[in-house]
Amino acid sequence: MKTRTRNRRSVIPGFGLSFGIMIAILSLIVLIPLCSLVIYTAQLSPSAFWNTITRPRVLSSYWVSISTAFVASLINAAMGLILAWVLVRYEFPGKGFIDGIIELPFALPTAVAGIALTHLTTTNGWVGQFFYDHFGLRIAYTRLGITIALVFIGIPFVVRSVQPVLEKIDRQYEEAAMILGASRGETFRKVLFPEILPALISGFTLAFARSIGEYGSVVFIAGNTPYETEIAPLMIMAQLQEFDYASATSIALVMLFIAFIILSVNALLQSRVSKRVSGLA
Amino acid sequence: MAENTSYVELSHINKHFGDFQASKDINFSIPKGRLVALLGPSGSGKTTILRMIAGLEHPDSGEIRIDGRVVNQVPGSERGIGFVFQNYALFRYMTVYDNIAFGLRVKKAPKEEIDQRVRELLKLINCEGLEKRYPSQLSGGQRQRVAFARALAPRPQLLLLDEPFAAIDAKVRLELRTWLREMITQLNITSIFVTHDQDEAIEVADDIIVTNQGRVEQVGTPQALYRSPATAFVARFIGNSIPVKNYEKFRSFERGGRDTEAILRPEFISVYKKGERVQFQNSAEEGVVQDVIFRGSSLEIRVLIHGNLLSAIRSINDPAVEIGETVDVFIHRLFVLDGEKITLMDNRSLAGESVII
Repeated sequence: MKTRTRNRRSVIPGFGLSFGIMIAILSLIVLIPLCSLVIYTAQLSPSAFWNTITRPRVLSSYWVSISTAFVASLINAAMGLILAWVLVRYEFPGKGFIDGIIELPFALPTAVAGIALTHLTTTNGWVGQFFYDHFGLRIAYTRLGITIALVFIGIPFVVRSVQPVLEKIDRQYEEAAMILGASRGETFRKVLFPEILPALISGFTLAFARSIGEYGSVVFIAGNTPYETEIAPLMIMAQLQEFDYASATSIALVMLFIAFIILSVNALLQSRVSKRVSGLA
Repeated sequence: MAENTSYVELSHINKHFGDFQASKDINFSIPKGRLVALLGPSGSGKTTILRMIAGLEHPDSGEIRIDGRVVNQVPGSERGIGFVFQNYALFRYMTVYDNIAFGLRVKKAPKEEIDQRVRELLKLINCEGLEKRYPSQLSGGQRQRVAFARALAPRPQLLLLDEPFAAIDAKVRLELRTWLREMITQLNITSIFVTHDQDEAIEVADDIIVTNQGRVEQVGTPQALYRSPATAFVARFIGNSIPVKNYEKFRSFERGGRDTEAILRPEFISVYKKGERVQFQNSAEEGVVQDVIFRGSSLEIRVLIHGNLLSAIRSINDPAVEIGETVDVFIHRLFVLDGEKITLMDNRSLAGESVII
């Protein structure tokens, strides 16, 4: 058996070379920088580390980051699904253009987006004024503002995750459900939604993980009131400005841990779903 | 064909997809309880017909009747039909049980009734014990049977199957054909299936509807299509037909018209080794064997006569012929096509025989 596996040649040669390049890249741009986080943090004693990451102001910044990112990603999941649905299922003039600008939040410098959104949503801005006059709602410099900025930067993740899956769904599923007497709602809930769900979860997770770490677009709109609208990445920046690298990396390590958990949960969910489809459950 | 016995009836159906006319004045009716094949080459409009009956497509003009009722405006779910899709379209995220139960659940049937019906169908399709599996964990044949059970669960009066055997490997396909035929006969449910495989249609169906380029060419039993094709297309399409232009060169045949062409099938031709007794020695041709193909239960002999490569069947038990051998070939009959007119032309010596008798 062993000799057979060794002799089996893959169609595209160069596994050794490409594997080496993969490890090199991964090390250079991901693993080594992450290790340096740990090394910098190790300059602190365990108790100092614990004190740094559990300062009340830091704790509340985690909460601000996670809660706004979570809400924003939920909104993104719903909106992104609708956007992807419309782009896949309907034909309308300007479709190509709209499809193209989905990625704009990726391309735009996040600070530009932050400034533009802030400008729009202050109590003097076009949108902010409307909401303030009619509902007494402040958007800029509140968590609501942060959430909106995060919705803006997170939407492409969901759309681009769900879109290819929607495109691939065979119309026969819908037709089968229809002939069996299912209503449109039932067809969507019971037949289409389970097909989309894995992609939706992964889009949600990507948007969530990205939103938690988002800095550029949020700092302007957040207003950065301590305990209220200070996000975790801002706390890191604050430490860096005081040249307190160890504290900065300590908080960063916590962020890394959170991101790791989010991505692991996603991976777990994905493998569970894909097992069912591939027949290994 | 009595009006009251027809269960499905299509009259003057036309259907366009953009500029392409998929159905051209389709007319046929199917009696209750029959198993009917829609047979035609790909792109002949057979699937469109099936989908219109199911309500998945809507005709531009014409009427579809099911059980005497015009159903053009009736949604597919209320036509009393079951539909088995080409790729089965089993719901991947549901177990076998849930797939079969789907049609009953959306109709809000009571739980016990659903359970009873699903168990009954699992037994019918011989898949007891598989109810907790997902479609990905089934073999091709099992998937097809589950799709069949799912379509049958709400007790439809009419079963529609789109290329039901296309996605299955050859050996299982033969088993499933027999199984499906028995099942449908046992349930006595009017059924229409689409196929491009004439063997499948001939073997499984009571009646065959031959379609070509959006038209219905002929409706009839497999025997009728074989013996008396109504159009040139059917004559060419059914059987292993070989066209021959200069058929008047064959002994004991004469030209049946200026622009005519003949169609020969293997079963019209007998091949004899030199020295074997040939019944009508004077009417036999000499031909040279070009190829001998083993067909399992018989041999197909390709033989060249007057520039035409003809096919004939020879029994395995007959003395073997070899490639390059000169043989005697007797042509019993052939179809003469004159435009759309078809006549069966017998070998003259056979006619002489019958006169003597």
